[in-house]
Amino acid sequence: MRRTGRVVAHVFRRYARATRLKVLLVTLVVLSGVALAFVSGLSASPRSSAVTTGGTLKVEMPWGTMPDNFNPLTSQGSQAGGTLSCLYEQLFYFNPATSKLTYVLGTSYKWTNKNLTLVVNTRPNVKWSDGKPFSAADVAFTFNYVKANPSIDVNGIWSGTTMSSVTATGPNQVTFKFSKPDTPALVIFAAQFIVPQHIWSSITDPATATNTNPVGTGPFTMASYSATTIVYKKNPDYWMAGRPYIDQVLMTAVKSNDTALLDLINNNIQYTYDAITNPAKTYVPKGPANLKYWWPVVNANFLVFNTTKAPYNDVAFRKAVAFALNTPLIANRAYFGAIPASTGAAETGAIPGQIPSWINEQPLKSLEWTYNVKKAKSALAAAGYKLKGGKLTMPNGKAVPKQSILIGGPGWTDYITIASMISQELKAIGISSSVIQAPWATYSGNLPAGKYDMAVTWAWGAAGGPSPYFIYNYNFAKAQITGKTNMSRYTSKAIEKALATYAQSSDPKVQKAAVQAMAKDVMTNVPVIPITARTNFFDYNSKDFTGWPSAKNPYNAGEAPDSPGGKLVLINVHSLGLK
Amino acid sequence: MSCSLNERLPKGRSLRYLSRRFAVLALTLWFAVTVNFALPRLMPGDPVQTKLATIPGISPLARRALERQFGLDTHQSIVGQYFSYLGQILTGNLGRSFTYYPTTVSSMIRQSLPWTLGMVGFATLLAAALGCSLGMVAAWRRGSAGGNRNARLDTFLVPLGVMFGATPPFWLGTLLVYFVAFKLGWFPIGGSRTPGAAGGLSGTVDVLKHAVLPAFTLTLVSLGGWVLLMRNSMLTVLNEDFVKFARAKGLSNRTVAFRYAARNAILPVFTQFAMALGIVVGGQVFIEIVFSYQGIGYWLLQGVLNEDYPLMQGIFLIITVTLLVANFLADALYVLVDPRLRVEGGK
Repeated sequence: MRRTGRVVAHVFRRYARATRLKVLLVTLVVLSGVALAFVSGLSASPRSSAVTTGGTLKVEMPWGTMPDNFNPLTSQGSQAGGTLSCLYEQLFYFNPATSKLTYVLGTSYKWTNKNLTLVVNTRPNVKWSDGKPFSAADVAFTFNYVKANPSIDVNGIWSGTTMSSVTATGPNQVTFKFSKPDTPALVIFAAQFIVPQHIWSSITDPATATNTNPVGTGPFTMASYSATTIVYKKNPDYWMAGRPYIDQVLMTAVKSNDTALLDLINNNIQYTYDAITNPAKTYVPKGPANLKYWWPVVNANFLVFNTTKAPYNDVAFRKAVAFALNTPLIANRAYFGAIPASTGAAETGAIPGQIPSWINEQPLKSLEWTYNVKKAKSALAAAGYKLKGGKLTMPNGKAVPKQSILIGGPGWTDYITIASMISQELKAIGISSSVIQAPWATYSGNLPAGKYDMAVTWAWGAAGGPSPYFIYNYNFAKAQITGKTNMSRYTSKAIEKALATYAQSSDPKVQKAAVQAMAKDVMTNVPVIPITARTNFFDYNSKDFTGWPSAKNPYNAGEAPDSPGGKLVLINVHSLGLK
Repeated sequence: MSCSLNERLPKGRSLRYLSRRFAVLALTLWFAVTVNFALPRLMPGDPVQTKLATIPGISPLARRALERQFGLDTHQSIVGQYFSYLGQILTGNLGRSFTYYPTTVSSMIRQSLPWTLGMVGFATLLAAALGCSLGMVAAWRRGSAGGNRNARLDTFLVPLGVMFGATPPFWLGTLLVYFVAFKLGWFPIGGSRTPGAAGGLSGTVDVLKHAVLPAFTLTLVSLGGWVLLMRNSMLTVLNEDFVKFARAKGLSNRTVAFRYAARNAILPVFTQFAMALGIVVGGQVFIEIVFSYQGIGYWLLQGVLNEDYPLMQGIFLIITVTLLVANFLADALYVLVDPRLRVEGGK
């Protein structure tokens, strides 16, 4: 306590002059309340003026140790925890659970010139943590720096989009030019972390740079490093007035999820990220008042058919299988009620939170399926399949041989449950199958190579995509067979056309129609059967802090603490004060 | 070795022996390195795809950047790759870990090796020293079960040694973790030191406390082997004529046991010891995992789980090289320890 007090005093002395202005600003924020919340999209629920500032938020993750590396340009997970939430920021944050956009270093964007030019306005009056001003030049520098160093293009900005140039066209304006219209690129480059030109322009090998004196625009600055604990102090010059509320974030790396969970239960920490088994039974009862979890859906688990193989190349067969699977029961056995089954509109494969903004459910109702073995059998019979003595025969007279269901992720008990139950349920329609538990190398290699019959896997590439376009593109586009994310190897003219229409347009109406066409195609042709949802695993303890994201106030998607979504937690939580 | 080497050593013979040993070392080293180069290239799977599958929120578009980072986009021929690999190894460059990119494998090994050497090395030394002494005494006071009161040690030690030797170390370790660390709370449950622990004396005590249980497990498990080896070797020697002659000369028990019998009996133990020292470097994977000890075995497991080829290769390389070099040194030292080699020039 004493030490915290001293730190606070120090901060106050140092920024005494700025304090009065800040009080004014905080008051302004509070007064404009709801309005500002809408504009910035960052603020938590409107609250009374009694926000307690200060306090140390403790975050714990099973990282083992953290490297002395604060480089935001290499792939996620290679830098010390907190780099991507406390220190560095992006232009925009797209919430995959809701499709909502949050403006971060970018304040607006506009497509012009037949969608060949994108103009992004950058936030004025932002300072790097070393005091130098941030400008559009830094943004342009970052993108061109990534272009010059393809090994740090971890978002695939230059290899995966048609972007041709990025230039600063004003102190607060960046212009992106494209060789072909490619509007989904916005989401891809929004994920790029922006670094200061005055520091990185002299770094020649950014892929291996460790950036031990990080300078960013984020809400915190790195105060001390050890391999197991990093202290992040509030950035007093952070551009969002009055934020963060808390003084400090402590990021601690522990050896296992169990340790972190135990500390969460014992009120030692406030925030971790862990797929707790049966949380309603094993976790919440240990402190029902404080122990909370919020797991928003951001992806789905699919039963994927190898559509190049018989009998999976037959639509009628695939659709019949859909009726044979009791997905609510499977979800309940695999996730104990914590994660829902993919039923109704979720059968389009889209993330449920995105459906209201993108898909009109009504016209698709007739294509939906529910567990009905009788219907499955009659659909098979109508397509010429015969069920004799519990064994299915194909229309060409050949018996369906024993099939296999490939699963990976060694020790993933949820996948083992899902696959075994599917195997069990398929028996009812005369298909015998075995479950193959493959090591990662085999699983992730065989899936894109088409070396399997059926498999349980997730929608690859869905994470971070704010519209169903991303799931459909990565999983059903022809180009993604070689891109190694189209595992079912399903392709259709309707999807190719809709993907192109969507990518060439910046008109939400046109894009919505394209998504609708793809949803319809997927529900008609069933290249995959969505079985259950896939969620993030945000676990928190509300004893001393409030302002957490929730289903009512989903300002993020329940991400891990070392991500742009996690940052939103860090700038929204505030202390409940002394009790 | 009371006499000077130069007097006794017929130079040509032992040099020939040593150079032959060295040639064998060089050949095996080359072979090991080549296998090490080939193995990951023969394994199924795609490390980039694995990384894309295991990192939450990573974009599939990261593929090209990752391939570049990992050096997998190379258009070099396999022969070219092989020679640049040899070149890298000679310069001590083991590449960068895929999982913990951009950390270099050599720095990871540098960080974890001292922990393994300290804990496993100490346990091995202790087990060998204790085991040899006990084995020697057991053989000296040998005797079947029954009235011989002196043979008690032999009667108990041998079955006990066999029992502990046959115990899987991870099982014994798990038992110790549960009863001694968790139930009684005498020692930490795992790890190599308390996170954020201070340095100095209290830090040293903390490190030692963490090492006690894994080291104890290792000692207990390997002790039996040393006892048996030494005992059996000693028994063979005790039946030799020169020991009988020494007794007949009326030398003291002490002199016969140490200077005549034990000194000769220790030879096979010596080879075993060199091998064991080599294995120390490889860490005791199971022990390190059970106790979450951050030695080389722990990283080897991480490397295997994450298909981290450079990490696996680096650790394998260190293990093979130390094993081979330890073996070579043992052979070389034999010339000093075993006078027969000097005379016959090594058979």
